[in-house]
Order: sequence, then C-alpha cells, then structure tokens
Amino acid sequence: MTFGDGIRRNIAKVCPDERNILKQAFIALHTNQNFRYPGKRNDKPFVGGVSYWFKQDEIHQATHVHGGPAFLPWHRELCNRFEKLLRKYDDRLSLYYWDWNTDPTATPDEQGNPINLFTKDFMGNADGDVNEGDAGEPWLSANFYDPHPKGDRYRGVDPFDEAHSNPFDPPIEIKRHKPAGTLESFAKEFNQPFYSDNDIISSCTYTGMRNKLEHVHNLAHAYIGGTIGEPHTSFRDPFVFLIHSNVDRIFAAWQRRPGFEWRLDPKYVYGLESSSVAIGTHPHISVGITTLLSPWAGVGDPRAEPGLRDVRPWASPDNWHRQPKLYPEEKIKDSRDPSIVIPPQYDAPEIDIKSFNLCESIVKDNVWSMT
Amino acid sequence: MPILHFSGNFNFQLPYFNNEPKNDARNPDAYDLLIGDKNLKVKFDKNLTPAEVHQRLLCDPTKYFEFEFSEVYVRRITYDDGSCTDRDDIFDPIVGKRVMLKCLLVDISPHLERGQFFAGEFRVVDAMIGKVNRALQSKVYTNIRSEDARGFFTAAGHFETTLYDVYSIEGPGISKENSRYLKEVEDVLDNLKIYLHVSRYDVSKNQGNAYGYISREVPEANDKGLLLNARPLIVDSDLSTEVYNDFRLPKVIEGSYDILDNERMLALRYLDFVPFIDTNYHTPIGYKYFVHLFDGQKEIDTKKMNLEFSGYHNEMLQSGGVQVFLIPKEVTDLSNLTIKIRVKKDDWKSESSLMIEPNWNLTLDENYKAMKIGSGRQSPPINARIYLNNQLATQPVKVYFESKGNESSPLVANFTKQEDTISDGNISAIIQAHDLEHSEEIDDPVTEGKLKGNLPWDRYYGNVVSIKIRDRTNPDAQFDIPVRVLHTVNPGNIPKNKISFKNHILPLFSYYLRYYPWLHVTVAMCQYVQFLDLTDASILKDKDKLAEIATRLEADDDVWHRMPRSRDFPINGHILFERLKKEDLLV
Repeated sequence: MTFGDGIRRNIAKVCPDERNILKQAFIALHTNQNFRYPGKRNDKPFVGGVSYWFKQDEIHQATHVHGGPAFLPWHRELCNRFEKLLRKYDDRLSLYYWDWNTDPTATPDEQGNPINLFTKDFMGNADGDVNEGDAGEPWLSANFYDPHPKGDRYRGVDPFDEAHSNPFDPPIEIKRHKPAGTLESFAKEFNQPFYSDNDIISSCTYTGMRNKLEHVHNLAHAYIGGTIGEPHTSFRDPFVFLIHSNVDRIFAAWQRRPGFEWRLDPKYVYGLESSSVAIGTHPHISVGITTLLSPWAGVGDPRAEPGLRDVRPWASPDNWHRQPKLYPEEKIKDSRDPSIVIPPQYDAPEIDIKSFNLCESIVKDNVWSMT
Repeated sequence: MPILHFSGNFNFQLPYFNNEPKNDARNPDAYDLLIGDKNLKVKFDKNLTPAEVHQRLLCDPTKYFEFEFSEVYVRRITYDDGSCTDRDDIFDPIVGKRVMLKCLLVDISPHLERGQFFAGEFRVVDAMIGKVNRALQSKVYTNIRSEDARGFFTAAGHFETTLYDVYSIEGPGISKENSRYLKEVEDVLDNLKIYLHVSRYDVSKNQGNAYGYISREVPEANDKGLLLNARPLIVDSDLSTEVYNDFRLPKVIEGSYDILDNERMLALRYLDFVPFIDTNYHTPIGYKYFVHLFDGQKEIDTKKMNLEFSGYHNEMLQSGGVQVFLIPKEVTDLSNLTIKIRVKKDDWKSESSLMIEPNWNLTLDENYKAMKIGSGRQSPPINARIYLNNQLATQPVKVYFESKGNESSPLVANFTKQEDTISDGNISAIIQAHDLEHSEEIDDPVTEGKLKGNLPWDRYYGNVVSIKIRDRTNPDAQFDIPVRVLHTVNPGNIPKNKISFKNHILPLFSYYLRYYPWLHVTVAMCQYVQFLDLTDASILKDKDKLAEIATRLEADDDVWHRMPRSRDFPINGHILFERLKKEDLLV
C-alpha cells in the first residue's frame, strides 16, 4: 500500500499513522488560520471568515440535495472538493471510507484484527451512554463544537433556529448514539431493507442503483445517530465524510462494472434522469442532473438550485465562480461534467460478478434506444 | 435617486382548489367543483405524473403560494438628473442583469381576490440583494379587454412596498466606478421601494407577466401635508365616445403617480389605464399619450419637454410600466402641481382627455390594508386619511363605514360605527370580528342555511369592510379592506395532559386538510411522497417533528418557514403544540 498514491482506501485497513494524519488534517481544516475563507464573521449580507471545516456544514445546509437524481453526483463533488482541502494539509492524503458492512467499533484492519474507529484518538465517542453521546475528543478541544458558548455565538441543534445559525460559530453539540451491532442488524431491527454492495452495484439503471444506495446511506446516518442522524446538521460530524466516501465508492463500483463502460459517459450514465430538473422547494426539493451544482455555482443563474442560500466565496464579494482566470477550478458545472462523472480511484474489492442479476441486454437496449 | 425599470415573467402556484368553499379534499372521491370533472380526483396518489397532478390541482402542490420572477431583467435606468440609459445611450452594466424576487403570495380570503406578499426576497444579480416587506395586492383591473380571453388571464393588479436589509453586492466587472446606478443608489439603500405590476396569469402554465421598478421610497406626504405617493388618476367623465369605445370602457381604469420632490421627478404608473384590446399585447391602436402639467388652474407649457409615450407593449417592457419625467423649473411650488393625461389618435388634429386627478382621495397605512382578526376580538384602530386636492382635508367630511357580504362566507366583520364626521382629515375606526365559537344564528351563503354556536373550523370566514367619504352610494373615495376572521383556541379550557388529537388538534388542521389537497408532498426517488400527514397523530409523538412544527407555527409571518403558508392558523393554536412538548397527547 502506498501512502500518497491517490487511492481512497478503507479507513480500517490503512496504517495507524495514516489514520492519525487524516485526523490531524480534519483538525487543521478548522484550527489553522490559513484554512479559512475570506471575510469576517459579521460581514453583511454574507458571513465570511468561515473555516474550511465549518464551511462543509454551511454548504450542506445551504443546499438540500437528497432524494433526487443529483444526490450522488452532488455528494461526489462535495467529497472531491473536501479531499482537495485535506491535501492542502498533506498532499498524500485521500478521503478514506468506512465500509458500512462492518461495525465501526470492530472493523477489521489489514490483518483482520478488529479496531474501533470511535475512540478519542480518532473519530471520538459514539456511545450514547457515555457523556450522553458527546463526541468528545479529539473534536472538543479543537473547537469542532462548544457546549458552553459565550452568548449567542453558536449554531443551534434546531435547523430553523435562525438566531443561532451563523456558520462561523461552532455547533453547540456533536452527539452520536450508535447502537451495538452492524448497520445491517440495525436495519433489521427497524424492519428496513438492507442492500448489500452487490445488490446495489448489480442494479440495471442509475435510478434503481441510487434509490438503493441512498436508502442504505440514510440508514447509515440514522445508525450513527445524533448530530449525523439529522439531515440538516449531519456535516458537523467529521465521520460523515467517511460515510460519503463509502457511498461514492459504491457509486464508482457501479460505474466501473466491466462491460458497462457507458456508465462513464456523461450522456448515458444517468439514464432516464439525464435531463431532470429541480422539482419542489427548499428544503423539500429534488435536484436534477441539469441543475447546476450549488452553492459552487452561486445564486443568480437560472439553472441554479432553487431556494439556495448564498455561500461565500461563491457569493459577493468574492465570487470565485465568476472569475475563471483567477479560480479556474471553480468552473460552474452540473452533474454531467466529466470531473463528476469520472469517479475517483478506490481500493474496491473484487466484485462478485456471478452473484449479479444479469441485466446487461436490457440495459444496453434502454441506453441505446435513448440516443 | 436612480430608478431601475424591469420586466419579464413570474411563476405563481395558486392553490386553485381553495377558491370553491364547497370543495373538500378529505372526501376520497373529491374533485374540484370549479373544474367539474369527476374523473379528476384530488386524493393523493403517488403514481400520478406532475402533468396529471396539475390537471387536477392546476398548480404544483409542492410549491403552494410560491411566487417567483422568471426571466425578469433590468431594462432601463433613469438617473438622478432624468437621463436614462436607452434614450440617452448611457452604458451601465446593471442593464440586462437578472432580477430575482421570491415570496409567498397568500390569499387574504380566496374569494376576495386579494393577495398579500410575505417573506419576500429580491436580488438584482451583481448589484444588490434585500428583502421585501409585506404588500397587499391592489384591486383587480381588467387588463385584457378581448372577447376571446377570460378568467385570471384578463386580470391585472399591482403591489407597492418598501425594501429592507438591502445590501450592495458588486459582482465581477461591476463597481461604482463603471455603474452610475450603483454609485447613485448607494446613499439610499435603506430607503427603497418596489412597485410591481402583474398581469396575464395563465393557470395552465402558472405563469404571467411582471413589470415594475425600484426607486426611492416616497413618503405619503411631505412635511407640509402635501400628498406625494401614489396620487390617483381616474377616467375623465368628459371622455369622448371614440376613446370610450377604443379603450373598451366602462371597465375601471386607474393610474397613479409619485412626486419625488427632492429630485423634482414625476413617476407615472400607466399600466392600469392602458389596456390590451386583444391577447397579442395590442394596446388601443393609433394612440399616443401626453402628460400635461398644471400649476393650479394654469397649464404649464411643456411642448419642448417631450412628455409623451406610445403605450405600446415594447415600451412597457422597456419602462416597466413607469414613465419618469422631470418637473419643469416653471413649477416653483409643488403644492399646486396636478397632472392630466390626454390622448391623440393618428388621424386626430387635437388631443382628447383620458385621465384626471380626483379632488378627493383616501389613504390607509399599509398595515391596515388587510386585516386578520381573532374571533370575537377587535382590530386596533384603523387609521386612514382624507385628502382634498392633495392636501389633508381640514373641512368636515362625512365618512361612512360599511360591510359587504360575499358568497363564500357569512358576514363576520363590521366596523363598530356606521358613520362619522371628520374635521381634521384623520379617520380612526375599529373593526369588530364575529364570535365564531359562540355565534348567534347567522346566514350562511355557502350552505344557504343558518349557522349557530361553534361554527365549523374547516371553513374560512371573512368579508370586505369599506370606508367611503361624502356619499354612501356614490362616494368620492372609497377604501376596501379585506378582513379574515380566525377561530380562537382557549388553551386554558384544556386541562393538563388532556390535549386530544381528535378534539383539539385535528380541528386546527381541518381547514388545511379540506382546501389544500396534496399538502406536504415532495418528489423523491422519482415519485411523489407525502412527508407529513396531518391526520396521523404519531407525528406529534415524534419530539423532533413536534418541536419543528411548534417553532414554525410561532414564527413571524415574514419568515419563509412559517407554518402554515397561508398564515391563517387559529389564534393561540400554537400554544397547544408548545404544551405538547411537556404533556402527553390523547390519541
């Protein structure tokens, strides 16, 4: 295994030093004063000075890309951008994933020995019976949250608490309530279907695949529970990126399935949802494939996500997205952009092709008849 | 102070189903009685396509009440000195920028054809961003006077309100150095208003036309009591027969203008007196419009000032429906300034009168232009003012107070007095709401029967009350105030831990369940899903959901997430939800 080869790996299977660097990178994205976006806390009309880490929650709250065609590509963009930020701390890092087929408190490492991801040395506490589920260290001392804020300077638990919503401020809590057992056992307990990786990857269509994948993703949020279990606050918990890297891994595996190379083609990958547009209204909105990826596309373009809130630096006065010469990487795009469609590299396990439902001929017919 | 003119389209999701009081979406076989097709059932069905849903509801229920600009752009800027971008060929990078506006346009009472803006936000892309105060829709005018057009499509109305929390947001390539607009507007960002004219609403597309402008806020009157804002114009009673016929009168036409005294400008809003005579945007053919200024009885010579406009649709698009003129130096004292609009047809030798200023006028504070009153309660004093020749009237004026019935509600709101004599121009009156929970027997036009006692909670109650001056039958000025009367909950009558879902909570929701089919739905996984079922008691057992509902019920009307969107929840109803955070619910 080569640290720095750009491959996103199972977090349990990388060496402890790499896990430690990843944790340090998370912390630096909030504590390092160089890792902040322009502006100041009280800037009007749009708040500035937000740390790279807190920006992730601001981005997630300003948009609402769930339950619709753009769920997977939007979160891929979020993960890709976050990985670039991690690499500003250490360019050898990649956004590792938690394999949700394993219990994160006893997930096998490279040697097959169980390790616990939820310790004070890595992702913090996830036991609801310990300190009422407070994530604790290493996040508390890094000010990822502040249970005893001064005055009004905190982000409330209630997503509609407008008075406590400044993205510059720390959340008042990060809690978790992970039950014993695996995600699959959790799903069974609540009579929810659980789809294995193979179930998802063998889906014939993009729609079928994303429906299953988003469902298990929803379960994963609920399984960890607490802050990460609430859609409006989930990106306050660093573990969320380990979940979403895994979501993207499975999406990538579906795309890279041998014989289905059309899934790497922007014209075909999204199937019947290729021309979908945004439906509904924030926060109950279904974002389409042709909707611009927000907030990175800013507000004001007719193709932008409806109901979007402005998020700096993709808003005045920075407007990074409007200055291609200065910020070429901030190009406005939608889910069909090759940078989204072509997936990152994962250490994906060999796919058990034999267990797949055979649907190649159906898919090919459907795909080519759309041209 | 520069004036920013805009035009384009708007989208509006009108909750059409609630326009018929006999409709009831709780009936599994319900269909909209106004549409009249029994096959178009309105019951939630997750398998329907968006087009099928629209066929039944004539709107997108995921966006009930949402009003939003689409393809609205800045067309012109008129600067402080009266010069403007197109006529004087002045480049300003703001021209052509997209104007965004989003708000909830809520029925005051569906049958009263009056809507009110709530939770509005606007933006001129790369220029400024801000919020829009509440605004009541004007009365409805017949904008398209053609035999082949009917319904909403022919109607027009306007809104006028102030902006707040306005900030400059200069985008790349735009600055105060290269945009004269941004430079001139900088000092008045805290003092702006928007005038918006809407017309041609097509229910099949949920789209219509929008015109308007943003300018400095104009106070109702200056410190000498001279009326400056929204001076009305009415049709001249001496109209020629040809004009009468060409403008397809007598359907009401009106206009208004503002005087921007510091800038010595006059802003004439003309879209409500230049109608379309067909569905292809043709205005009365061959006409031109001329503005004449008077200093008292004396007409001012304005021949060299070009105070004319064509009124064609292309001009409307460019002007946003407002013509701005400088007031000539000859007018030294604004207190005697009046205007008249005359028209001239291509083949005429002289002009003919169209619009004049009335002698009398009534104004009302924006807060009182529409009222929500709790059952059995009284409104705060409604303050109105009488103007005579644009000055506050200081002679005794007879004022009449009336209530007007309608076919959709019993009469439930009345002024506490029927008439008064006002000597200082300031009217003050109180509206008394009917007691909906302990009603004496009253006529019900909906069921054509009688109602008594605790009136049904799944209905709406409201009517117009009017203030008229000088003559009850043919008033010289009149103001109609739509009043909505809301049921009132008395939480003190419900003992602790005795809040019942069936007896106390469901009645609060019954109005919404009845008139808003497909309430709380969205699209997920390619299908419609209902994310909140108000008939399901378990939603209130979920503490998070209960807390969210309680928070949103208590939110101010100007908050987008306020529940319900119609902003007509029974008075004190939210208290039950607050109590349920600590008490058990009887299911």
